[in-house]
Formats: sequence, C-alpha cells, structure tokens
Amino acid sequence: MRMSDWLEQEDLRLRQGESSVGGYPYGFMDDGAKKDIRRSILKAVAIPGYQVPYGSREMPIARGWGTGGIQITLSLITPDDILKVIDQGCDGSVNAVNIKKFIQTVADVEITNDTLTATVIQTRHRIPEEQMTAAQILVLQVPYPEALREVEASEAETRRMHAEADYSRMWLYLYEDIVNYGEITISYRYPVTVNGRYIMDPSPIPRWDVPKLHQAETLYLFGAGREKRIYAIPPHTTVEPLEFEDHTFRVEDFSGKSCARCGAADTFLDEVIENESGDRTHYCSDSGYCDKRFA
Amino acid sequence: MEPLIRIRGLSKRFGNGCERCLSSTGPEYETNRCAHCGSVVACNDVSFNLYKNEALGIVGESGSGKSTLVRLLHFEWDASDGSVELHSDAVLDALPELFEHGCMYSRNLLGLSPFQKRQVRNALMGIVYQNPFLGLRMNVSSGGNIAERLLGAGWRNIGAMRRRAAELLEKTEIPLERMDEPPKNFSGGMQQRVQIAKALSNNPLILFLDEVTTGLDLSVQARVLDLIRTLQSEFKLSLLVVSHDLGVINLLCQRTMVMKYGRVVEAGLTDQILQDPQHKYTQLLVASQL
Repeated sequence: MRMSDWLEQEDLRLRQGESSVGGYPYGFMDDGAKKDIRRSILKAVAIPGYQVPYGSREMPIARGWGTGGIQITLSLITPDDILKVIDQGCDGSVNAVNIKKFIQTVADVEITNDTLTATVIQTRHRIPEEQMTAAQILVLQVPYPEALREVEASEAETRRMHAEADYSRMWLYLYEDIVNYGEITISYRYPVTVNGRYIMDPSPIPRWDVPKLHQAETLYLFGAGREKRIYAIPPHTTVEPLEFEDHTFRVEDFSGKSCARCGAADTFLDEVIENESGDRTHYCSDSGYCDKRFA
Repeated sequence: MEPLIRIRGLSKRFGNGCERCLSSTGPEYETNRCAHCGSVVACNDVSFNLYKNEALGIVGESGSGKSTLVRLLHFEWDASDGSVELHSDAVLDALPELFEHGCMYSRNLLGLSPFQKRQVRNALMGIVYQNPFLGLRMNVSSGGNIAERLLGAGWRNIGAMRRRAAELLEKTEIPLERMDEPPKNFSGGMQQRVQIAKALSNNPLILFLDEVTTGLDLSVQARVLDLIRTLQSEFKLSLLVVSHDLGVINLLCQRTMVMKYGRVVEAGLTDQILQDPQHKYTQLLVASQL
C-alpha cells in the first residue's frame, strides 16, 4: 500500500472514531504526533546529515533504549509492512524482542528475521550484511547524535560549528590521534561527511558498516529519542568517512577468521571467548544472515 | 602605492547607546562611558591604512581601545560601524567572490557572513595574543596547534602538515623533538613563540600582535622582538602592533597611532611622534616612558 493511500484510510478511520489496536490509536502515538515526526523526517531527508530537532514523545520504555528508532518506525509503519528488529546484529536479544513485541501489538504487523523480506528494519548499532533495496527503510537507533560532542561540550557552539561548516577541531582530534597512536583510534561511531556538507554521527555502527552508507539504494533514518534529534541519509547520497590523504579509512580486519557456525569469511564477526578453555571463536554478528546460511 | 587594507570609521559601542554618546565621550571628557546612557564607546571613528610589509604601531593606556581595534579587525567582535576593505592584490585569487567586477578594493568585510569572515581570516590573517592561553590549545600538541589552522584551510595530508609545522617551529626556535608536546609544558617565552608559529601557519599577509612581549622578562622580550622583525622581512608581513610599551613600538614600527578613550589622538611617523609629540597626552606618554 502506498503511504498516501494508507494515510487517507487512517484519516477516514479516525473520523469514524475507531481506535484500532488494543484501545490505542494505530501505531500507539496519536495522529498529531505521527504527523509531526513525519514532517521532521521529510526535513531530515531534504537536508542529508542535518540534525532536525523534534518533540520526542514518551514511549512505554525508557529513553535511551531505542525510543528514537521506535518513534520513527511507528510513524511510518502500515499494516502491510513486514518488520525486522535487530540489536547489534541479533534478532533474538532482549531489546530487539521487546521492541518487536511492542510494535506488533500496537501496529499489527508481520515480523521476520529475514533482511530481504522485511520492508522496515529497525536496528541498534549494525547494518545488515545483505544488500538492502530501494523498497526498504533502515531505522537506526542513535544514543549520541552529535558527532562533534567529543571536541565541544556546548550545544550552542556545536550548532554554530555545523552552521558555518567549521570542522577544523574535529579534524584536529583525528590529527592528534594519529600523532599519539599512529592511527585513528575511533572504532565505532566513526564520523562521516554527508553530501560534502555536514559531519554526521552514523550511530555506533562498526567501521565495517560505514561504507554501506555511501551511495546506498536504501533510505537510512536516524532517531535519537533521548536527545530529540532525527536525521537521514537518503538513497544515492555521498557519504565519506573522515580520512587523510596519507592515513586513509579502513574497516576492521578479519583476515584468516571465519564464522564458526556458518563458515562465512566476509561478514562482521563477534569474538567469543569460551569460559573454560579460554579459546577464541568467531561468529557472525548478523544472526539472521548466519541462520540463513546455516540452514 | 595603494594600501593593503583600508579601515574607515571603525567604531564599537557596548550598550544600547543614545544620541549623546559620541558628544559626551572621548579624550576631552576624559571618559569612554556615556554619562547619559551608560554605554561604553570602546572605539570611535578610527580610520587608517595599512600598507604591505609595514609595521603600524598603536599605543595608548589600558582602556584606550587598542585591543578592541584588533578584535574588530580579526572579526572576533562585531563592529558597530565602519568599513574594512582589502586590496585585490592580496586575495583576489583565493576569494574572488569578495570583489565586485573590476573593483580594486573588496566589499566591506564587516558585512560578510561568519563563514566568509573565517575564510578571510584563514586566508590572510594571523594573531598573537598577550596571553598564550587565548591563542593556543594548551592540551593539544604544538604541532597540532599549527595543524589546526592548516586543517581549517583544507589541508588533508598529515605528512605535509607535519613538515609545515616543523618548518615553522624551527623558525621560531622551538626544538623539533618537542613538537608533539602540548604547550602547557613550555615556558612563557616558548609558548609565545609557538603562538607566533601558529599565527604564521597559513602564510598570512597581516599579523596582529596584541601586547606580545608584556609579561616576558627582558632578555626573552628582546628575542621575541628580534624574531618578529626577522619573520616580517622574510615573509613580507604587514604588522599591526598593539602595545603600551613605547620601546616595542620604537623598535618595530615605522608609523604609529596614539589612542585615548577610544579615539585616535595623534598619528604619524614613529620617530616624529617620539621626538616631537603634539598632543598633550602623547607628550605625557613620551615624557613618562622614555
């Protein structure tokens, strides 16, 4: 169903005074709230990488546990959607399961673990291994939306820095890292320049996932519920990790390692240390993809 | 020869202001605070030219508006009134958008956006403050302090930036093995020299020196002044030297302006001003300091 058709249908339903799911409006939030969030999303899409402030609503879970992502998902979802929720790549972790149950209750949608059949994927700290398409939306949960917070504590000052594209202090931070440690030591939340303009925090995804943001087919939406910001990377946007000519960006090195379960050697791996033996084994971080290969 | 930069009617007022501010402040009234509305006229109607490779001195007691003038020209504070125009020789290539077609002087720089002002600053200005804490990041390495300005100007090669930093630190006599140490580990004189190296990193045409030797002991003062003179002739810099020390002005500057209560009371060749002061405040200054 097209979004516009769905909105018309919703509108009609509301005028008839129906409340669809469990005594709540469809999608838990009232219509005004969803409209407000959709407007913020549109603005975020129109200015890639710019943090749009929005009125973050109270959700039935604590702020800082994915409420930004949930609000985006709920404001976009329709009964035809198929939802996947992952937490650091895993479909079965407590946070992911609870969010899935909640959204299923209030939005009456089908749930899947398969990246390719999902229409909306909400994620914490990973981008799925399988290539996503233009028909899908990836919603990322963001704890700290401000990429410049490391170098500047004041919100007023970071806003000025963004407005004037005054990013020399961020670059200086990377310079000092290289001088002190021989390389850039940021392992996750690696800052990127979006569309040649804004420096953006890609949420705490590993470096491994950063190249997937560049010229992607899929719409990426970022929601920070506690910090009350929404930002976006629309499809086919240039996204470049900050790097120097003589110290280029590189992703995690898993050469010689592979998943102990499915054998994949081209995925982002989690290291697991066995309690008794102290042996180190590796498993795919993306559990849905690993299941698919293992089956 | 045309001036590198033309400054006309530069003024800065703190407070709401009233129509009687200008007629009730200044040297004649021995105050820069308007008795009617309480506004402070820090700087009023200052006009002068700065030529290429010359050193212009500004003397005056504290509160006379010297440092205000520098902060206005360095775009740290917004001026209340006035114009600052650049000669096209200086930056036409780097910032062509500042120049109307065929004009020799730029648009009024004070009317630019903050982003453009920073571009102008990165392209042609350097500043050295009395207090190194203002000009340096004390917790960042000395090399990093210099690199910051280069990064702001779009440099993205660590090796090239380190070579440039090393070159400047060598010129300012900082041992290279201390390049990766933060300036907080250094003595006051060394910090001042790191500040000078940082100010020179972007190859500026204009260097603002705000009481650079105040607070340093005499032998260190002499070395810093010596260094500034050497660098000026090497890089063909235009200097704007703010000082309350006539000795410093005498040593560095060909021309001098004397300020009091936000007004320029006398201007001319430094020798003339020191040998034959006309304004009674200048006479007092010369008599008490030489």
